[in-house]
Amino acid sequence: MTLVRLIMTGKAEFQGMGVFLAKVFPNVTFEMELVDSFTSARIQEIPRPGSAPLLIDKFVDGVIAAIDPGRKKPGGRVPDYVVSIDDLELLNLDQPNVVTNAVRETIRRRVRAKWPSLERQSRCFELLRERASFHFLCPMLESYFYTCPSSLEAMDLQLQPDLVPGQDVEDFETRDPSYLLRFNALPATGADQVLRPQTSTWFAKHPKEYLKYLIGGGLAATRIYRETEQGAAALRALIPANALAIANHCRFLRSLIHDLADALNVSPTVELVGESHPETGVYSRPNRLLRNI
Amino acid sequence: MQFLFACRDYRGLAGYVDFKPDGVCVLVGANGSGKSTLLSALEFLKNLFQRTTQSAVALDGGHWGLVNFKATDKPLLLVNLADQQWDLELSPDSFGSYSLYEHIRNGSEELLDLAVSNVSRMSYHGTELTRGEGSFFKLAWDLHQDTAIADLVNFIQNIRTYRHYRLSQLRDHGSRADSGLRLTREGENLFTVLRNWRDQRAFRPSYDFVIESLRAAFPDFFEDFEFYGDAQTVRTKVYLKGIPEAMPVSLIPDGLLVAMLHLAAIGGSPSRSFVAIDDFENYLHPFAIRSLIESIRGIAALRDLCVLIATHSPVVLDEFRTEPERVFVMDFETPNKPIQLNHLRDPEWLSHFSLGDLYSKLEFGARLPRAEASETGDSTMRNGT
Repeated sequence: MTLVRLIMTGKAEFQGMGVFLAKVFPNVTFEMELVDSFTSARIQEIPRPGSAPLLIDKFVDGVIAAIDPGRKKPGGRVPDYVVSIDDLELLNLDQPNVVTNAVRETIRRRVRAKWPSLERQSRCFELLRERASFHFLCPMLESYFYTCPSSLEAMDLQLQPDLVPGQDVEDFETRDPSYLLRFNALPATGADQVLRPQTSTWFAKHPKEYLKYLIGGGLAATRIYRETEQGAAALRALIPANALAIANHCRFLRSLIHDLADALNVSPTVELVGESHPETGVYSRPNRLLRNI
Repeated sequence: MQFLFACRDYRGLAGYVDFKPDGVCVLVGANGSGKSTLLSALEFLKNLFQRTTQSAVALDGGHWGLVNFKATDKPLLLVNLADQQWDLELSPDSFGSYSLYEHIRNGSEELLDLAVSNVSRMSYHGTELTRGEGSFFKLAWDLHQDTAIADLVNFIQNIRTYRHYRLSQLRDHGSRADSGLRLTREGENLFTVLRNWRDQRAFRPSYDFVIESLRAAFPDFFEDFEFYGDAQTVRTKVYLKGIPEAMPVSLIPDGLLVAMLHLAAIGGSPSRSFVAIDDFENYLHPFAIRSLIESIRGIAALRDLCVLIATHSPVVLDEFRTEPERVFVMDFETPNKPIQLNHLRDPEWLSHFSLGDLYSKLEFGARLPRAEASETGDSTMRNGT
């Protein structure tokens, strides 16, 4: 059976993504690996590496090690394919290309740092180009739950969502007046101005914050959202056909499914109508270092 | 919930120290930097309100070292919650005890001003108060139950700091049976508290919080527990998944027992109160640490609690990666201790790193040999050193 290693950055993904993808590729075995996300920062100028490793370095090191040498246990099996996934996050929503460029640059730097021999470097680069890819959940995993009644049901929401009609959940936006009212008066202060500009617009575009509100039952929450419970349950309950039902929506998710189908040469159980996202769904880029970026 | 706490020249904390924790926060710093002392200062403040001054000092470890050895002024403690404020100076007298000099304020209104020494009587809302062996604040509260300071009194009375749990006592002797509903400082009444919560409807949510959080932190392992004992003692057995026989508490892993204690410490906290846990990570696996923090954040949000976790754990710190403003550092670079991490390092720069990695690499909260710090110009440990 084909073995795919999923390198993910969220606790809910770690517990549920294998189940979700197995619905699309029932003859593939998925094994999980959890690493830190590097996209909680606005990817612009990344600091020069100092004494502590950068998050993007650690993420990329995980991808490299998963394919070369690949095996985790002595005598263990090398995965046939490695898929790394991180949230795009609101901070980088306007610049997926900057993020993929940063991943490419980091791969180049880390492979060169790992092996002094040019021959060994080329072998690693070749393996990565053939058998590894990088994808986004946009802006984060929770967006996709809104496409699927069974996911929402799995989270036992106390309030029903009210989204902007017809809008792609990868460009998530709620118009729920009772939710948004709270945040109009919130001043952004200190670190928040840099990292989390918590304005009503930011909250309107944040699928996880809105889920917390819906699960909590309003402004004075009576229940909490736990990624490892409701998040994982919703992902396991997510029906792929629902998430991909609208042809020009969820293009980053479609890229992921399409990439797996193409790389493994297997047919998905869901019909892939519509386009993938050009940033992660093209396999012929001349400067690519992974299969798709 | 946010509050301000400050102290001056209290024990090892030289000079003026203040901080405003909000929600679930962490406190980090080198050994000897004053993390535990800061928690002790909060406990001391509560005891000065609830007890006689002599008793509070005795509980705090006694007279020796109560005033910082480099102090240039009298020790001061201050707490401010939503503009309600109590501050007090401690003045040693010739008999080895202390007098308190207190102010109580509500906003700009001075409710009690005892800035002069040797005061034994004071007027509060027209009532003559005569100093006893404790604080005037407590005396005024007992007589008037003044709503202008009620939130502050409630907050002070509910301050709890936990450290050095008595694990071996719990394992060997269980807990003494009584009607307690709040975990004691060293956790020796854990089983009694949990049993009482289970049996009282009003406390059932706290009991459920502990059980559900343990199941999440120890999946495929912890199932449930039951209580037994006699008129004097409450003991516990733990049901593990897949094992029909309950396991006596003497055999369960230390991590599970510590997690029970942490959760009981926080689960028993009333709304808008403060809890601190020292050395949070002891005995706990990284998965359990992450899960417990997720649970604690949940209940803190529901009850508007302030929880301070003192730690050296990179795993704990990484759970605050997107919240550097909630990381308080007892840092040697700055006189302002504890300082919020986003004020010590640029938050955008921080967001590219694991906070645990930075702490491990001595990027903040480290005490380095003086020579090395001056040679490198900063406190960063370089590669290979």
